[in-house]
Amino acid sequence: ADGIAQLRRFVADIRHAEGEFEQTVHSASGRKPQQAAGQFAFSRPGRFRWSYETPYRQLLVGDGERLWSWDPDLAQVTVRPLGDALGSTPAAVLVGSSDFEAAFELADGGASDGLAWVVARPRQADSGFESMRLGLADGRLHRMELRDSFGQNTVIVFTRLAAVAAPDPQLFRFTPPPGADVIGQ
Amino acid sequence: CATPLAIHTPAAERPLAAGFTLEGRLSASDGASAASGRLEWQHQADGDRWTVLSPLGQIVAQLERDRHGALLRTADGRRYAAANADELLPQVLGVDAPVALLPAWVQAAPGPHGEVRARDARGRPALVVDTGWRIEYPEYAADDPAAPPRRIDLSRGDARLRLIIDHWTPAP
Repeated sequence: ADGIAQLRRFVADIRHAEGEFEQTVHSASGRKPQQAAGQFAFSRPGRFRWSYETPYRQLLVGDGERLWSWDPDLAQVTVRPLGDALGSTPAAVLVGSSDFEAAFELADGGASDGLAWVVARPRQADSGFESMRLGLADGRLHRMELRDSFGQNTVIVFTRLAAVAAPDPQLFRFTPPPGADVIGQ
Repeated sequence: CATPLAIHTPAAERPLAAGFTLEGRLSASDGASAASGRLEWQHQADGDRWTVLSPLGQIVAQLERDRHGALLRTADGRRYAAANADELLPQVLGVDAPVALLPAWVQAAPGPHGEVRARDARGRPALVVDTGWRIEYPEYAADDPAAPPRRIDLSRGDARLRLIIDHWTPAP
């Protein structure tokens, strides 16, 4: 399977995109899977928007320098440098530019479910997840699976991913709402 | 801001669960560092498991306590053992809230040395003060007197913890 070639094409060709995702977390403890869904957008390099709508709203914005995360219920914003946050998190796949392979070691993951798979291991030790599998078809990323050292398995399906010529820059800016706690880590 | 109602509201009848599973979200800071994420907490009389997860559902840290001691495991695979969970819980919750009192506090009940300072219109605690901690209950999960809290704000000095309880399941 040519997963790695397709992934390189995806990283090189799809500079800006937006769409929807569905996330299912299969927990190591065998509890019923947890579903979440929302919208995303990205603009290489370094800018992305990951907005959970269900089961509750939570927004993650990479503005090119920093990663903002906002939970309206908690009325709290956390902000940290994008570098160490992005370095080896799944978002790097979406918005990492050519140095994507600097953050991940790639291996062919064969073909299944009509997708060509790539196994990506973060080179940075404390990346918070152990390995990631990326499923591609015709040069587009369709699925992402993450496994952590506890055996949690997160499956993200990109139910829609559309390349866009020039995304709205406002999507990748974040201003903390009035009254929200802003905590820098 | 709205001042909690005075103490004279009759106390609601609120049974205390000896065991439960709590799923929610927490944000904490002690002035220096901060922690935030999803929290899953399984509590029984003789043991606890606290799990903090990232929005992507990956475990950031997990602390387990039983009669013999406590073990903390973090995402990078490191493990820390301690005689009791109080030494390790701050690394999970971001503040050093007392392990022994948390099961009562998350059910809007004071510990043996705490007291209810104010109640809401349904007679449920709005403010508890206990061993130097201030625990506010601005929102409950439903309108009935025995409903679990939905939002809890805990503070002592610089330490602050805000907890949203999304799912509360008392153990049978």
